[in-house]
Amino acid sequence: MTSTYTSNQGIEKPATGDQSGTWGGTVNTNMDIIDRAISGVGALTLTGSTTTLTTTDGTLTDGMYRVLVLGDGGDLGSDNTLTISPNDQDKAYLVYNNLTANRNAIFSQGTGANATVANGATAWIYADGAGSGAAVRIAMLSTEISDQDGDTKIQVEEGGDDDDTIRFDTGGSERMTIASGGTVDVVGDLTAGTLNADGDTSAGDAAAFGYTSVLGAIITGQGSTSDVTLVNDADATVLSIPTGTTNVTIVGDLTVNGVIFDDETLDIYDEGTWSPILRPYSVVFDSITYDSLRYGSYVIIGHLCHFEWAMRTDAITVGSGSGGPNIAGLPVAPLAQSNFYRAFKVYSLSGFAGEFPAQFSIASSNLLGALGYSADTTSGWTATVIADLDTGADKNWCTCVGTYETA
Amino acid sequence: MTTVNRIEVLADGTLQVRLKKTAKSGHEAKQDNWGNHRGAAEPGADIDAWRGIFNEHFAAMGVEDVSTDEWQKVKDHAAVAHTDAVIAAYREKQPPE
Repeated sequence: MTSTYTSNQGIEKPATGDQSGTWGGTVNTNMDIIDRAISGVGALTLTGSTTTLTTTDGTLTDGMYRVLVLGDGGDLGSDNTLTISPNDQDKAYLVYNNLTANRNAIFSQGTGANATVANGATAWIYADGAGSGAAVRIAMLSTEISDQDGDTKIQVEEGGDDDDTIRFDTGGSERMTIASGGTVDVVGDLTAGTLNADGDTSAGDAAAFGYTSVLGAIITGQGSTSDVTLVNDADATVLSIPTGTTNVTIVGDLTVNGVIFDDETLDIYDEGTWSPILRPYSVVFDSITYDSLRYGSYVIIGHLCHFEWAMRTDAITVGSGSGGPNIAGLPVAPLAQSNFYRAFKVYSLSGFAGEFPAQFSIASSNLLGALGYSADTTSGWTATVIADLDTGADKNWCTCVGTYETA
Repeated sequence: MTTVNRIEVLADGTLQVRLKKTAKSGHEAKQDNWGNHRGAAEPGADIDAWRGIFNEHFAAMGVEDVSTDEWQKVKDHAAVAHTDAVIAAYREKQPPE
């Protein structure tokens, strides 16, 4: 008669009447096998890329341990595949992968599924002992909580030993991580009832929302065109802060306490110079040379244009010039008003050949104004004439200041 | 180079131009040689001559010219805005001297 063995741990079962007087040794071995199978912790030092985890009938072997602690004598250079042999034994192991260099331990038994115990993980695995097609599966993993097919999970140590990062996957893709420093990175939309920031942002933040007790809510951004941009529901820019500036660009209207400031209202201030031109109304002079005292300046605020001009000439060739002398070249057009003449005081200093102009009058929306005077308090406006101008040097010196409504 | 900073066409065809002045070398210290310079031209005005008026004044001030290339922007707008009909309508509304 010969002994038989249990299916999974190879415990010897002597045949009836066998081992008379010697069965004690067999029993002791069997007890050791049971002891190992219940709580034995086997520290296995792996080498190379493959290992055979063998259970030999009636002999105390590595495949009988309950707990496997996998170590090495240095980096294996690759993951290690541990083949559970024989392939017709049911097995259940608690495995701790303590290999170095972030190497995985891959458990296999047949052509069925393998179970990969990632580096640093402790896992309950089981082999189904189904023969050549046997599979090994993970029942529970210390570094991972996963769904049935393993594509949705929460895991740690994916990035290697002491990764200190929690990773959340759904549908086979990583969706969120929490890094060791507390930074949460979310792929996809983040929806929350209320997002309450409680920390300050910093200058290097790409797009951050923060809070301090002094500043309150803080938005910090970094962009090539703008640092911060607000857009509407059509994805059109409403407000932006150009990169690296303290400026604010508002695309549309701004309403302040019910008052609307549109682009025209906000563009209320403009200042600069202009070129006053002394010319007859109908036909210009053949030539005119201005003195260095010629000057024109303006300040535009909203629809009001405040202007100043000064004129002095060094030479005039009247030629075919005709019409009354005018000052042309106004910086902007006056508002058109039918039969309306804007009159401004002219201060004529010196150098006129005849009447000194005392008034500068702009008719309606004309871009020039006539020079004239009132002979006395009982006379109306009288336009100066070309003959009143002096064609010599340092002549026709006059100035004027005024304000008119722009078109 | 002095550049064309803004071109405004009013309803009656009046063309308003704002130039951004650049001071010539040696004239940078004069405040008026920087900043804006404005002018307006009625429909039918000689736009080329207008540039000449500016540049003649700029030369006296110590400001860089407006180049012909830069001024082409103004001419292009004038070409569109100053149609015969616009010119005629503008002149019709002008008060007598």
